[in-house]
Amino acid sequence: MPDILHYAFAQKALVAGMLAGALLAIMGVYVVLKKMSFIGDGIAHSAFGGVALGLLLGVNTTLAAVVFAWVTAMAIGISKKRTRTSEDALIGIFFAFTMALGVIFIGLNKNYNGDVFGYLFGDILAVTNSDVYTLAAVSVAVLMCVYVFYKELLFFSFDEEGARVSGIPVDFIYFLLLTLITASIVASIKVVGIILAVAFLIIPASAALLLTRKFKAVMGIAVGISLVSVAVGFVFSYTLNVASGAAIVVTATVIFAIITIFSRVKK
Amino acid sequence: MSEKIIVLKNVYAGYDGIDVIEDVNLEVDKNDFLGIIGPNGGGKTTVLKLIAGVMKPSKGEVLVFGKNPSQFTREERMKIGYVRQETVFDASFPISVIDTVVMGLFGGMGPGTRITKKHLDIARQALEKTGMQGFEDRHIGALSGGQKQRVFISRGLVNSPELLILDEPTTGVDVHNQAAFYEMLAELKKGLNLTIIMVSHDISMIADEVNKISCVNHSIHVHGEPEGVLSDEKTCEVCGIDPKYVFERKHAHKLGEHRHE
Repeated sequence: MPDILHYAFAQKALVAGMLAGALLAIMGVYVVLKKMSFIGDGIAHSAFGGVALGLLLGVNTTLAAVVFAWVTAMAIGISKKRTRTSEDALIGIFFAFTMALGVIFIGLNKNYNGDVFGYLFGDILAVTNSDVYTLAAVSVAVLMCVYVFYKELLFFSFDEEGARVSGIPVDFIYFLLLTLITASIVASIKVVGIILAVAFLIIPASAALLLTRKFKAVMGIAVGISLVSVAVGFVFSYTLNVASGAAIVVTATVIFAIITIFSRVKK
Repeated sequence: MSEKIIVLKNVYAGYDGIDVIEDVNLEVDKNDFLGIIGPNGGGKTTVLKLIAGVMKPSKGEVLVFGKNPSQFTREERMKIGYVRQETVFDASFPISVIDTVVMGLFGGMGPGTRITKKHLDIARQALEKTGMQGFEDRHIGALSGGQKQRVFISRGLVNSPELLILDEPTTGVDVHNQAAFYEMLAELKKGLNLTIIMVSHDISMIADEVNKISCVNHSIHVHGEPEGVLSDEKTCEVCGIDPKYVFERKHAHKLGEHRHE
């Protein structure tokens, strides 16, 4: 066991990292299968505007980021259904708009400090008890929703129109999925950062899809890849003294590359 | 008099405020096998979506089993089986044949309920109806186009519907298997007492199986028995039917008449 794990703060960091990793990996399966990677990107970046607003107003930044990102996700979802503009163009517009607002909020903030960069890139060692509790609570709530709406989320991901004909409340499921993705991203950004949360949402699920053709197995393997990436990335981060979020995502990407090569050779 | 299970009255519908179909009137009787033909972009799929309740008309009235299908209750939805082209699905989606068919039951089960042996047995029975027993555990992407389409028809049949709607079901099915596919549909219709509405490009194939044909090209130009619809060259021109086919059909009939003489 690396020396650092003797310290309570390091144990807390590892627990937080694994919680975030597992949560993002599970939501990532839906994101990848429903081809929603770009919307995940848009939601994560809109959290930047929320964090900057929270700092400006002096309120809880995580709460501000959740509200800001959720409103953005709903705005993208509603605009997609009500306007003629394509979904990817809408995401691009909201993505830029919320980032721009974030920059303006930082400019308006006389007490500006470097906190916002902690959110952009994540700092696993700066995770507090309250961050871990928030992450645990969000994980339980998101996983309960995934359990209760498992069938509906599966049908929606595979065949949206067929699900609608079968009587699945497709619009509700779409907004529920956006909400669960938002909650998972925002609860995880303190650990892996806004920019890297999206990579973490996509990489483990994409790698798992190369290894199995069973839906539940994809979820299990994605979580496994996430946990290994967090553990290995954490040790690298400590050993090489580099940013933890980046080390975790690089590890996940290397695992993805190995699995890709392995699955091609197997073919 | 036959029971009318579908009635479209002066229906207009489209996308983004632009109507694709205008002033469509259509009546479908119980146990009809209706083939919908027409050029691409003419609104065939739009008509199906209106009947399935996936789309609402911008003007006019759609009644299925005497009710607006977009206001169907969960139980009422079970009366419709809806089958799309198998090519619209992601073949790499991690799902088995049996799980694909079971999905058809989800709408009636409600959130929080789990899939049990009873549901799997119903799905197996639906697979037997299309001759796909033995494929339960195969990955959906590992099947041929025709096999996939049979799986999706099994999903459409899993709730024992009264009405089966098929949107170009033979896209992706190779030519040799198309005749067998239509024969299977005709047998299902007879055995399960179904009303079937099917959009198709294969005019020559469906003419022998269906009892009614509608030609949709922004409106319904003709609706009637295949012989009547396909014998009028002007109608065929409007509906994008190859005149060569009409010629061949007439020619075949003339040859038949000569033989009788």
